[in-house]
Amino acid sequence: MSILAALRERRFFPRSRKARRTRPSIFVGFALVWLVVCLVMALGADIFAPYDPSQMDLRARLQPPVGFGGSWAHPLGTDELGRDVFSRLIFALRLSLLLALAGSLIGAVLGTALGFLAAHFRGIVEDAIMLLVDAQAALPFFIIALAAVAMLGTGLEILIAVLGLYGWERYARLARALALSASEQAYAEAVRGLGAGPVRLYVRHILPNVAAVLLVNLTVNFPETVLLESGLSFLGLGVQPPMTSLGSLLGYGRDYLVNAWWIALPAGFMIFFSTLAFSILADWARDRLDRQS
Amino acid sequence: MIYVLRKSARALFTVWFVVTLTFVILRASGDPLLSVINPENFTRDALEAYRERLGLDVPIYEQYIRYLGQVLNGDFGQSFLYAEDAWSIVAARIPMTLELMLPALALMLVLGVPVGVAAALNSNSPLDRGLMAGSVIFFSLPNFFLGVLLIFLFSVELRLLPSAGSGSWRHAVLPVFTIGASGAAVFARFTRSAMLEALGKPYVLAARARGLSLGVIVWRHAFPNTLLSLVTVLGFLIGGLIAGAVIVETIFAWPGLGRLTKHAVELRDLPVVQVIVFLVTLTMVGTNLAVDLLYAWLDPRIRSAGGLR
Repeated sequence: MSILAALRERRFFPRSRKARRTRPSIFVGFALVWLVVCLVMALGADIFAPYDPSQMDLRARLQPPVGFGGSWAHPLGTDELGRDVFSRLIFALRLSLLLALAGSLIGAVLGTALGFLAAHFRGIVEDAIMLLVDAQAALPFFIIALAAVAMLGTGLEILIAVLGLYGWERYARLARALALSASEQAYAEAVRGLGAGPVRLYVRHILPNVAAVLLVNLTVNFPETVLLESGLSFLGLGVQPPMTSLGSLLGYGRDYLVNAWWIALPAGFMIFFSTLAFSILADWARDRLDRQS
Repeated sequence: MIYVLRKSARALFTVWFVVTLTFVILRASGDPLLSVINPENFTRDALEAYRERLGLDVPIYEQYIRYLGQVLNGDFGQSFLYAEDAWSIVAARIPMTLELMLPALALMLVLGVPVGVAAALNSNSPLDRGLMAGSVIFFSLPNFFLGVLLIFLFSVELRLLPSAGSGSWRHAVLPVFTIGASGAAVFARFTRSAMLEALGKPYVLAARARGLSLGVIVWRHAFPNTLLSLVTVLGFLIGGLIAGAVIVETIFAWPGLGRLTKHAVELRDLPVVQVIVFLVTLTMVGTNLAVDLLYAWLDPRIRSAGGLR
């Protein structure tokens, strides 16, 4: 449709808010179902996986999936060592989610703590913390992560530390701003007047009052952490064998793309559908918030 | 003028900070000599000689001052892997990476902005929904998967385009699209919402009342007012481009900075990694500075008020 057609229909002013759909679209439902299925699969990986993810069957190497000439013995086929792709996928999903969860939580705790420290001490402490915040925000984090891996080496602890560093600066900014405005309020004054120490004030009183905003940030941060881990593992710089995450599965399956696409593509679709589901839910949540305000 | 000076000082400060942080982390992670050689194979005298040659025999603050001087001269030492200056190894790869980055940037703008404007002009129509659904899909496709998917479709199945290497425009098609697609999607979304906001402003109503044509209203009145937010997004996307280059160049075996970064990290070639971090810092700080200056140029209010804070 061209600009002219829009003029003819006089539609180039946005319609009023009321005209917008109020019912959540069917995609929101799909997104929710997909995420729940992923979560259940990851939690019950031991039950759902038909094989041990590292069990080799050299006589059944590179079997195609069902519908492409394979059998139900291996629904998604097998890899170059005869390992069941479906089982590996589920365990990879579990590891990816666990790592992202650990990374997100570390980032949330670290950032919130530093933000509160900045708000409490002000002065030079605040300046130093905000300097770190600005430095991290100025650089693409993927490069920071790569530099850290180059200097410290690959390893699970280092990977978790790197994932934990991701996004802390946004929590620090939020927590600082929220704590500054919260400590002006009457309840903070009252708690202070009753003789509570700063730790009690921040952890028991201010934190519960500002937690909602921080949690919203967590839901943005989590899928990004999944992508960060997938990207690093895809390059072979994250999770190291014999452990596999979705990213490393996609990364090494890439070498077999010509004769066994079923090693790489399912892992890729899994990551894609999950980020898509998160985007759809985030859009929907934003729409709802927009309409409320 | 004060605005420009303040922003520039801040930019310089960030560069200094990152350079210093790199120095601190590298020195804190152990004796740099031991990461290069195995001490058991050398006599004490030989170790001392090495220390002296690498400048590790002087106190740490002197090392730091010497290091700052070297960085200013672009001297980051020799690559651990190649008997060559780290800076020149990196510099030699820059043109190859720009060959991907500039077309990808152009693709983002050429595809993203018109799509966003079209969606805004037809807001809530099937066209709008379709375009926005497409943008959500491309925005959610991680570059490492999009690259693999494109190779599978266009190289393995259809055999239309080469999957790896460089040398002709055909080699660049898939990597450029892989880098540019998600950026175009982001642009489309931001253009749409900025355009919708601008179209609802009184000056657009005034322009309509004057009987101006829709093209003039959209491109001369509304669009300039969306530029501010587009410039902001552009600033963010440059960072994504740099990170994306590492992954995309690795997938398509494109011999640029990104693939060099991956190899240098994998093999722990620290001088090369340092140069790359320094270069990325300069690029990002330069981009942010350029965005700030563009703001002032685009919006006279900022110029007179002494800056957005």
